[in-house]
Amino acid sequence: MRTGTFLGFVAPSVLSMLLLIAVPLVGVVYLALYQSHVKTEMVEVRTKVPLFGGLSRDQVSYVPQAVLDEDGRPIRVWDYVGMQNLAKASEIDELGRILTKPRDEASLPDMIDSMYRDITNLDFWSAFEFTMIYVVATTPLMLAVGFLLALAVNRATEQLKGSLIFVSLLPMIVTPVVSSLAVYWLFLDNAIVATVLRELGLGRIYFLKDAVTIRILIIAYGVWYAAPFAFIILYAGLQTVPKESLEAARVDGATRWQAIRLVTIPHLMPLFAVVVLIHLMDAYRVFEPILVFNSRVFASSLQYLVYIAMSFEDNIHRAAAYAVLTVIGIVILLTPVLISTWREQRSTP
Amino acid sequence: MKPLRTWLASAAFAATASFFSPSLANAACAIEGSGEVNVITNFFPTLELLAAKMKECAKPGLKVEVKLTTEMKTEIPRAFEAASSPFDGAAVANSSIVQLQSKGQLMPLNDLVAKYKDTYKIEDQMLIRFGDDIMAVAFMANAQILYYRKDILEKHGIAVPTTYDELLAACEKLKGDPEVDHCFSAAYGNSWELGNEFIDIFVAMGGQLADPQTSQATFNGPEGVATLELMAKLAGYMSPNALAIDFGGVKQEMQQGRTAMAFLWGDIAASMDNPEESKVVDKVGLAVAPKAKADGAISTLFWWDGYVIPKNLDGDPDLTFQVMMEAIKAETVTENNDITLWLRSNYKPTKYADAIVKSVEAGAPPFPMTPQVDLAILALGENIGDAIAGKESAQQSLDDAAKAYTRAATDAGYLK
Amino acid sequence: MSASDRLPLWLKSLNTAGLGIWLFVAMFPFLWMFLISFRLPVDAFSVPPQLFAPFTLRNFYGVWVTDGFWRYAVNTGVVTVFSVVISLAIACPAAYALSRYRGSLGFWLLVAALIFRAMPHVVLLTAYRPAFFSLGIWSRYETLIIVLTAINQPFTIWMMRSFFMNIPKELDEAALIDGCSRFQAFRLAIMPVMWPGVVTAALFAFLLSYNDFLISSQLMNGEMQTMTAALGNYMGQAKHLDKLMLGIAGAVSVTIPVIILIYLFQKQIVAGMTAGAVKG
Repeated sequence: MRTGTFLGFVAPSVLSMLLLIAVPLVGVVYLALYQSHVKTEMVEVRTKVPLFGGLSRDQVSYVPQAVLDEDGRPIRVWDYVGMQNLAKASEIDELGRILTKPRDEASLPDMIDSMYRDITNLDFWSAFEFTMIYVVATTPLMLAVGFLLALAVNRATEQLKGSLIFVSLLPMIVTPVVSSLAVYWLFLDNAIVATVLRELGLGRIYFLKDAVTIRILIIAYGVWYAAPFAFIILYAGLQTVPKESLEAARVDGATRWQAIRLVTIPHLMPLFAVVVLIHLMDAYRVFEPILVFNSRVFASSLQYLVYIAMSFEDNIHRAAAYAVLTVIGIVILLTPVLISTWREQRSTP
Repeated sequence: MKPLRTWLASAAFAATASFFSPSLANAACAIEGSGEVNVITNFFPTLELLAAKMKECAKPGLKVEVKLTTEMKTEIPRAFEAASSPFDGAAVANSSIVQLQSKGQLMPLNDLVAKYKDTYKIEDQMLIRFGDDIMAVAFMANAQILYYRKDILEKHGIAVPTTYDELLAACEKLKGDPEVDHCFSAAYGNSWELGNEFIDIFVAMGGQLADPQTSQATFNGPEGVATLELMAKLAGYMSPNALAIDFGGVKQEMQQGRTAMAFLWGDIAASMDNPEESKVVDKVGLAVAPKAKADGAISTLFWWDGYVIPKNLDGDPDLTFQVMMEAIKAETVTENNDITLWLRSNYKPTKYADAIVKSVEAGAPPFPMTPQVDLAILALGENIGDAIAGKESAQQSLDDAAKAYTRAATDAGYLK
Repeated sequence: MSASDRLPLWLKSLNTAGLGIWLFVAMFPFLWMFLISFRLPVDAFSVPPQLFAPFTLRNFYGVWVTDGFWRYAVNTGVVTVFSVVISLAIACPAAYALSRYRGSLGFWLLVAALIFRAMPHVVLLTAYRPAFFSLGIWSRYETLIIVLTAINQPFTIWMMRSFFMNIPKELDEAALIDGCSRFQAFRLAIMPVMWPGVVTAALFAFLLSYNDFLISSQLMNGEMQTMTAALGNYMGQAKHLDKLMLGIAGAVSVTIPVIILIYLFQKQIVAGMTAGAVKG
């Protein structure tokens, strides 16, 4: 295909992405390099506030107050700070200090343990830690569940297939705002899951009480949520596996498993790659379960940091710095996939 | 205390519970003028009622739109700092107003209040003043109080705890009572709520959150450590899941009869006696918050909710003000007396407001209205969970929180 | 299927059992939500949980009639339909071109799309808000549709590209040799066989628009909100249980159309996937 034709085909799609994603992305990088705030000075202010029942209370306190320009508008200060926001957000200085700090633990494992604990006490690195755990744990699991489901549904009777497909899709089609809450409710103190397990004689289980249980729960939610996606893509792919090749393999004496391994899986390889790629990105942005399960003491995530900086601290520069770090992280994470795409693109005859 | 007494004397205590039943009849909003009024507010039943009241003012030529959203914490600052705000008014509270006010984004309402004082019977006790400027008109108050199970405390012969030490002792006695799962419940699950619980106790301990002159964090001193250690002790009597249970979860534990005592907002007291929500009808007593120290103050702070107008609105401030005042006029309070803790003088406090009245009498202060405290609440909420979970010492957690606070305050330009 | 391909009994049972367990796990949270949406708050969150409780339609009445949820349903309908159609209309040619073009430009475009997809939505909003406020296009259908379309592009072009890669090149090359232009080749040779991929891609585009909470809730004003955005508000109402119950009823109502949709189209979805047009 000629470049001119290519450009014509991709133009509308590229234009929409440029305008609504690329331009904001540049804006985000810009924000990450700057620091701004409304210029304030400390002023003694008397506030008069109603309590209740007709009573009010006066309070005098030093409060930052905006410095106004001649039009009565607050003055906003913009400072170029370069890498400072990124360094602060990634807590690189602290990390250096922790790594070089002399440690008096007796054995090497103890030393590593205490160092690890210091590192994961930092906001960014603890978020990074769980994000990575989540990515690494959910990817193979959701791929396995999705693939097995695709194989299983493919074997079901024709009448059942439709119903099977749509029930399987449920975890994916319901908005995470709702589904994460629906799952959270099941695992509360006296909720259905804890109660059923207690009735079965397993004792009282508190699913949200420590790092291990809450992390397992979040990962399980992640697999539950992502597996249908793998399933539907792989199921569609399965329909394109040439029957002749499968039959030929079986005739040649291959076992069922060998046929899957030698014919089906290689055929689905590109789809596996897409599924993994998309999942890596989504898993890297894990957010809803962190927020809904109220788990921040035991499990945080990078996207959660962006959200906190943005929605609660109201600090766009910090949020932008986290976002830039997130994007850099994504690029690093995806490098292997990118290299294989590069080869694929080159080798296509 | 005089105004309170007169007010109490004039108020007939309603003895029975009646539940949320907004009355939308009797509309008659007669605002002159045309244009468009856009208001953004948080989303809970009282504000929903007020939103409905505002919308009644709509007529040909006058469009009234109210956005009720739980995301208002992000949306309001973003709109008010833009070149022109699509929202002409907003509902805010103690902690949300300070960020807007300190950035000079709010319009002083003195002239509008003077102009419409008589029309809408705006009472002095509804006005939020920063210096001479009236920055908001408040309509409701709220404070946290102690909810307790009368029957359970009676069964064990325990008096209602007035200090946290008594509460801990009571919990020790209640251990092993099969009727309750956990003796105490408080909202430690959500960052903001956790920070707020800390500040309630910390202020009662006599602590100061930030240095008034320099804005440096001072919550990691001895009062802070004492507060956090007390919270960790309380958590020992709460559900092991406590750090993942938010306000709604605590309320449900109380309503389902699974907990003996809980620290909850005062405005939802009536829901404990609503058989559609609660299994403990008539069994729940209300008391002022326990004291943090035997000789100290009660550990609760007063909040208000009110309306503000930004400087950068794209509509008409006069019209916006009228629409908002129309919603909180005296008739609204009369018709919907029981749905919340109104600030207007024609509000008749029910038995559910008793503990709130006592909290005022006990001298509970308002939640500190400085932007530094608004930053501290989040820094605390995000960090002190580690100490409560036993992952690190109270001092370590508070130092982490101080670090987060310093960073946020520096970025905001309050700390140099 | 040939007789030799029949599964042995143990494998068949395992297959059935595995599917059964998955179906239960996949459905349970929603079944439970469905169940409690017909209850009073006290029974919905009862301790211990109850399998049977008095039935009420109050929550549904409250959310649909009293709170006028239908308005949000209309908004969702408009936004979803347009964003899905536009999204696919511009993504298909792009993805087709990407699957046939060999220059390195294509690779970099794909990489850029990936990075774009990695952007946290909450950060994109920072850029949108001031721009849309000052352009005066805030809280309009067009704005939300275009934003959702753009956000949907990276995913759709990646996915459609994989599907087009599986369509044999001989198909369009034959058309080119017959004297067709690239576009004619796309229209005449590729379009007839691309529907299986489109159905699947459309499903995902639909879900993205239908389920988007953050962007829809913040870009749209009160009455212009989509169902999911409005629902997000209700779901945060743990303090007021009766409101939360309306949210649960709303969530059930929001889920049912999707289930019906998938149920109605299941033949097309399955047939689309099994059409055999996509040969490896």
